[in-house]
Amino acid sequence: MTIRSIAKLLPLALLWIGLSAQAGVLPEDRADALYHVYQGDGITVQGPAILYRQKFGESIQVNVNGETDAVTGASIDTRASGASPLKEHRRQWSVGSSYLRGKTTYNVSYMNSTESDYVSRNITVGITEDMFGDLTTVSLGFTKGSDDVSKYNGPGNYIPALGIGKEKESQVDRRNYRIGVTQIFTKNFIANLDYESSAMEGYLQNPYRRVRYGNGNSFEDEIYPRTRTTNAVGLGGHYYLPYRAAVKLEYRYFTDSWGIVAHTGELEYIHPLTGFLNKFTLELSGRYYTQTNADFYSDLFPFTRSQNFEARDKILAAFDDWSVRLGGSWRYSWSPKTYGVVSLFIDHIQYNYKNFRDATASVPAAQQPLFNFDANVYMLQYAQHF
Amino acid sequence: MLRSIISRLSCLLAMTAMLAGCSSLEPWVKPYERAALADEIMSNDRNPTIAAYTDHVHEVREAASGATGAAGGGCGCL
Repeated sequence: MTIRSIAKLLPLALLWIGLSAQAGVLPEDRADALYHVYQGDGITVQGPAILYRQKFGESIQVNVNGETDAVTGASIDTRASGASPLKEHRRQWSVGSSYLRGKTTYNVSYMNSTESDYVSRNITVGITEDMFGDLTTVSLGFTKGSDDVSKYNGPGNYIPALGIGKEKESQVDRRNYRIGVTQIFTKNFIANLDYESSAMEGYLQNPYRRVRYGNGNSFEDEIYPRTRTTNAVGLGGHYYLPYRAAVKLEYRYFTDSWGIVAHTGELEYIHPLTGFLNKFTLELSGRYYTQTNADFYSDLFPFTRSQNFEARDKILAAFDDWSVRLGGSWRYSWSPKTYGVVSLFIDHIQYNYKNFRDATASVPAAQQPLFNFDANVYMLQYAQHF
Repeated sequence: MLRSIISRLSCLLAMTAMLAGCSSLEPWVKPYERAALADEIMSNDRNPTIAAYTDHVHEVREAASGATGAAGGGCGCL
């Protein structure tokens, strides 16, 4: 590197130093223990999740997460195929660290998720900068992921999704890029704008799922494109009400290279109680989601291999879902900085599919009713703040 | 000419930022006016474990993901 090229970078270096001249803060230390239960579409998913976050001095923080999902039951796809009910475990853990220097926070984390037929690994780096009198926070993030997709090949035996010797072709490479801006507008209102783009390449389908064609009694394997790019923009606002309550409104627009367009809207209300109930906080939220189907999705294809790409995964169908959440938390203080919070949240979700039919109905495929189902999610958490 | 203008603008921007670091930039919401914004009920980090799990519940059943500030992983497809 020549002196001249160093000189060209000097203004940028000065810019960075200037923006970093005041001190920021790291999030508070805490330890969470959560137990969650999901019940819907004949499936139960349950297990614990933990978080431990600890500062070392004023500038370094380490966090560790762990989660286990135990999946039992038979979803609509399993029931329609006549296969045995599922009994599956997923284990996820992650470790990360943050380093604060001035007004800049640097983050790095590693995550691993393991199922018997799916292993996922992510490494994430990020940087967050407070600027302009701390009214603006800008964050940048990048995640590199790699997944190994396998399929069941007899008791205790799993092989690459595309077969033995095709380990490389059965992998998925993922890259995610994020940028976000949080802006204080008034002493009661703060808003955020986030953008995330991802690029995936590899084996993106499910090795077990099949499409149906003809009269609905003939089946063949799905075929997905081996690449997918996605773009999502999120806009949110938090408003503090005069009587100590908060309203949060969020919207997200999503589109991808498979032809899916999705909209998500969420409204949340948080209300701490007063008087002799002043240790309780109530939360109420509603969420609505809608998406169009992927270009290569169909509930029933006219004949075998009628398209280059074929899918009948209901996650790629046109559908909407809405959910409501009711939650409450109780806070117990040992000291102003050390306290515990017990929280209970219950979500009710309703999924309504527009072109995915219930294949268990004993009528011709084209006359089967559209599929829909309800789900309930229960979350009980203890959080210790210190 | 263009290179010279860009260079001067870069220096000006850098000097402005350094001055901002010395608190010369006047925020229209002063630090002592941010009590409401600092209240825990306004935080996105109130329940990070529940937020991450809720994102996972939606991501394994919806095609859309991202721009929520959370990084998930695993298939968990059902």
